[in-house]
Amino acid sequence: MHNDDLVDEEKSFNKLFSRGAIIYYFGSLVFIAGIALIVIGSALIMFFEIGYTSELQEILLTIISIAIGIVLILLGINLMMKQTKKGYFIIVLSVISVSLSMFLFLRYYPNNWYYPQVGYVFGLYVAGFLLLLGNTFAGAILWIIGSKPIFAFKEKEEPSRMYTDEEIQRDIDEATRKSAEAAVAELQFDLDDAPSDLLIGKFVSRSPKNVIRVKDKISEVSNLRQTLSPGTTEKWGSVGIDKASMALAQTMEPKKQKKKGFFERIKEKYFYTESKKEVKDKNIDKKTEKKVIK
Amino acid sequence: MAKGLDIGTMNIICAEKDREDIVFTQQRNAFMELDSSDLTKTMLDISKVLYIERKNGISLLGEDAFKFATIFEKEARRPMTHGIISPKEKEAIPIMKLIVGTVLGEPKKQNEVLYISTPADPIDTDMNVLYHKKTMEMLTKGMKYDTHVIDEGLAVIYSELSDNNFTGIGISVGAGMTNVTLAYLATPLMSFSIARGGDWIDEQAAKSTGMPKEHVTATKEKISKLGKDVKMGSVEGALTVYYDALITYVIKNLDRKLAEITPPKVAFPVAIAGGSAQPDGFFELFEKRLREANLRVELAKIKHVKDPILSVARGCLIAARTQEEKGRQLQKQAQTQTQTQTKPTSKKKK
Repeated sequence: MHNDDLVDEEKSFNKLFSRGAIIYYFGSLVFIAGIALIVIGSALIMFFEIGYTSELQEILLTIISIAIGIVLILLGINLMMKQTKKGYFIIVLSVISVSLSMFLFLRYYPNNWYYPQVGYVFGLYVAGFLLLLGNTFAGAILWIIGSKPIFAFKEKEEPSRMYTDEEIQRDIDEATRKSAEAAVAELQFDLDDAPSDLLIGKFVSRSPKNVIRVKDKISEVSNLRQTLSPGTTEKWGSVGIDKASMALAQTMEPKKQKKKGFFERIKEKYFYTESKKEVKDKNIDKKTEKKVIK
Repeated sequence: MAKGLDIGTMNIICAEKDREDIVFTQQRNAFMELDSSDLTKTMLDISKVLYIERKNGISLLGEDAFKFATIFEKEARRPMTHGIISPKEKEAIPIMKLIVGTVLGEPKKQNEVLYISTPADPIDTDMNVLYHKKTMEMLTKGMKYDTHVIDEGLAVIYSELSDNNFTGIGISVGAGMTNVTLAYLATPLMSFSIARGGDWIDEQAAKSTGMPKEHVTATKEKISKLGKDVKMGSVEGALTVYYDALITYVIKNLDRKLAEITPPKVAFPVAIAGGSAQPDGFFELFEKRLREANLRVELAKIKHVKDPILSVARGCLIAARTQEEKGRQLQKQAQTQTQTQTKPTSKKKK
């Protein structure tokens, strides 16, 4: 699964690269053409000295070269960038829009150059221009987003570590030991039944054994207890007294009565029968006490 | 009353306290097969010999098996080999159950605390001691004891290194194995065993001198002193050589294992015990080789154990009595707690 993904990724990269190379060069040419047209248009403004008194042909040539130049620059940038299907659709739409506005401009100017025709021409051009600009911006953003995770992933990559044969063997031994220990811990032996054909001699319990008696108080026992759990032995007069007095204090200390909440009081009054009984008992006790006093 | 049990390849020794004394009950961990006949059985019954009868003959158990083997120049069979139950002997478990039962006796109360010694994991063979440990634990639990398991080396430390706060190196040179434990304040930091011990010395000496192994074993147990002034071709000479070889092997492995841990920087005393550490001159030889070895840890004194064969059982008894007292103390604490809890309520009732 993982390998297939890698192969697909590689294939699509190659496809994109081969397709992208042609489009990139084409886009570059369009971009250069756009710059050239703007340069030409700017030069024509200077050359014809464009103004209110300029001739019709001079104005048309200058405006069209600048207008087409601007659009070609944006179109070139778009073609140089990797595009989605939606992107190509926007490019085509904007080219149609700009071309239409240019056609209408040539048709209406100067005889029918009044509103609302001017608005249509200008509107179509601006729409085409903004679509291209927007697509350029969106393409740039998508490129930034798409390239970021690669950097993040590379930064997070851990340096690979080589394990020695000894380390691997030690790990295997450790795992085997743990597994064997777990298996042995679960074992249950049935040792009660002796083999049926086995007969034990008459004097098993009285058979001679080598018995050695040694005078030994084994004082090591208290030492070992002390070493294994230091601080547990308490000599009377030190920690022992403290502990005893603490216990005594706890026993003698009257328990603090918690203040009863609203619900607890209701529970006690209406639902808790034992408390009623206790109260009754207490009242009876009080009465008897009074009688005794009398 | 608590008990300690040293389950060794050669001997099974039980230690228990009796007033001011410790009573050690020892039995050989061996058996020998004889042909069955009514006369033999009668003779064995009269002599109060421990035996079991099967369809294919009689098996003498314990010390008697060893004695008969020496007399008849036969080989006594062992339920245990290299410190664990022998996989070659089919009868090992029932025979061991019987020997352990005679040595240990009935528990004086239910769930009497019992500590049994077992070998640590060996480092020079691929055998595993886990199954042996579990079998021995279950075998004694079946006798209604509250069984706990302790490494042989740690038992030596408990028995011999009390003056050093149970810090040091405990070495038990048994018949089947040599066990080593390094402990700091009664806590084991490193434990291992070597599949060489008294039996290995006997085998090597028997091979070198051409004597039967039982004869070599008997000579080893009676040997006056390990020394270099011996008769040519004698068993004593071969024993001295192989004792030296075993000691060197143990020390080399100890140094190798010490390299794997980071022990605290204190001087460690050494206590050497076990049935194969009995001959005179053994401690001197061990001490000499230890000092020469220049180990990775600083060594303090090397303790000469008074009764090396009883040391492991004694260590087990110390552990058992400590456990028993701990249990008693916990019980007392629980009782006092319940008393302090019940007192205020009784006061209220009044």
